Amino acid sequence: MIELPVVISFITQIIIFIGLYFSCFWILVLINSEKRSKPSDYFPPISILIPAFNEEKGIVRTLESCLRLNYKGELKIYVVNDASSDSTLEVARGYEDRGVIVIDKKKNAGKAAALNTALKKVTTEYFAVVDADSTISVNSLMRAVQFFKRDDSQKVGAVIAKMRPTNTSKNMLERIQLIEYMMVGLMRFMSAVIYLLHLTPGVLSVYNTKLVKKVGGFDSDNLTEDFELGVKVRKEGYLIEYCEQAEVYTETPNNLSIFLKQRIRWSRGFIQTHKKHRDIFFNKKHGLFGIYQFPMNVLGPIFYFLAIFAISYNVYKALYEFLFKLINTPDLLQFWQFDSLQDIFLTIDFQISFLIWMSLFFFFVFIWGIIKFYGYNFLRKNFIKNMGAILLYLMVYNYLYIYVWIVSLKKEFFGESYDWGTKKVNHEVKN
Amino acid sequence: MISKKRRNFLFLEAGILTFLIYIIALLLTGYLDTHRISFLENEHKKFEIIEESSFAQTYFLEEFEEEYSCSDFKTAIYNKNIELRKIGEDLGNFGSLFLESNVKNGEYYKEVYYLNQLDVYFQISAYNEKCQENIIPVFYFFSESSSFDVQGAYLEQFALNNRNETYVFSFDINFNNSYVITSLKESLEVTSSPFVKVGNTTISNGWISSLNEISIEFLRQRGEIQ
Repeated sequence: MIELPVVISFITQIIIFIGLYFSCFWILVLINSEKRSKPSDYFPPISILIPAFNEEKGIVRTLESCLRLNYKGELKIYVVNDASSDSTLEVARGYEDRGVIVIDKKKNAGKAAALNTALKKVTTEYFAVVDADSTISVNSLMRAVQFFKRDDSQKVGAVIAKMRPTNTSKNMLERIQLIEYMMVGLMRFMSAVIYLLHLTPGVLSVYNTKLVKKVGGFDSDNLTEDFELGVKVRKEGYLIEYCEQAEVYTETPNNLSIFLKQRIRWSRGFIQTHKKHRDIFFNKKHGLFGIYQFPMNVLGPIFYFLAIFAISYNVYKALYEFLFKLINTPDLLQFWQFDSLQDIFLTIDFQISFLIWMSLFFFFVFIWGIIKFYGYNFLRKNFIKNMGAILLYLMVYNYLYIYVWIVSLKKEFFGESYDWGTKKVNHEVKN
Repeated sequence: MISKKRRNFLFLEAGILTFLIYIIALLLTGYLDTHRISFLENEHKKFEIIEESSFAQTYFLEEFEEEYSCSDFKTAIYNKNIELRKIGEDLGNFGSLFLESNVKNGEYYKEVYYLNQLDVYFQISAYNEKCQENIIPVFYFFSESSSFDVQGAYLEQFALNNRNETYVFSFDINFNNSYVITSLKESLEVTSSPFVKVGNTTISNGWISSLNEISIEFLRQRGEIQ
């Protein structure tokens, strides 16, 4: 029978190799990528769709930010009230005299259905979706729309924005999510640079109207209709671009139960989308998106969890042995008594040292990416201040994700329905 | 913006880079391995001198001293064991030898180390007999697994706590290269690891859960050692 440490050692070796490969790959992407700033000379008419369900508090800020947009072209703002039980409708109606069009749905049917209702009324070439609890930066739309104009033959189906959490100082969960959003932003940017971005977060995305109507709009059976639409856009051969100058500010969950519910919904939507579009897997018709990206979406989490398992095993084993010796056999703690530097080098274990080097490598690639993408000042203000959150992100947050995936897989496997529940004080974020 | 052609090339470049880093890491490991072996070789050479002088000292004491000097004999064994333990520690630390030729060399030095341990054991037996002393030998058989690191730590601490009163001799249960070690396993009736024998008493299951369990006082109270 093969012993557990042997299995873990084998897994660790594979992880080292694969991890090293992707570190090298992303570092090369970073070297080759640069911030893309496009001239602002293209202002086609745009519709902004804001689906709202019990958003009486958030929608004012959202509408104000939309009305303040610096955009020279024609703008139409639609609010779809999805049978809210609070005063969302009344608040939205208060903006009608400023040009906002309010669509009132008598029966609550979910975000996707609300968006599809509004989509039927859209006549502009492009439309944007903005969450009713988010605010967008004044130049976001102007910047984002430029990406639809390309010099090459590539067609752009959607443009997404850089997401910034607004609540980042109340508790550790919020701080950890700030770090997560930084990483996610960087990864999305790099994915776009290599033509592999394939999701359109509902918090702010701009779409080609004709294309979205062609693919059937938003899927109301999917828990993450925005992600599913992104896949459909890619499936049609269109690119999704990332506009780093378009910023959208959103609220992140500030308590664990809302956070877990949100992430389980995302994970379930992820599973549903991959199941629905399984024909993309290894399909040459979709180029690298089908051959590499879609399979990687599934293999990635598996590899990720194996990596967490192997790294945790090695780290916690070392920590346990150290603490054990510290408590039970303190005389044996002689790690500071190396005779020479040679002694230290000779005791280095190939596997463990490689893991350490690889982790450091990852870390520096990430830091470099943050500096390159967000700038040094951002790093100084957000990163150094949140070192505790970073440590927790690395050491604890990943385990939450394992839990999220196990629950999501179980729920999807047994076909459990999703309970949207009622709106909480801290918005259940729908981006 | 990276062109699609350039992007596809990045996948290849990353592969080449990974391969190069991995090869460099393997070469470096091989280089360190070679140093480990030469380090062990030097330690063994140093130990050979200590061993020879220990034997010479023993013969000298037997031949020329009017009375057998138990304290000198005891000191000689103690010093020899300290040197041997250093080799044991290094063998443990350098356990992850990588290149096949070095693994073979490592096995050779392991065998020499085990035999030297037995040598110390025989010297202790002789000392106990001649000097009417009761230094307690502890035999410990382990497997290459993390849970055994903790067991080894207990025994190491036990040996440190009872310097001159007890000596711990540890062996890898899966080491089958030496006929002598195999015979030792048979005579001690070692069938599974961990195996711990303190004096004439085999600790049931071999698992030690606290230092108190193997303290000399505790074992004496239970009548397991004299």
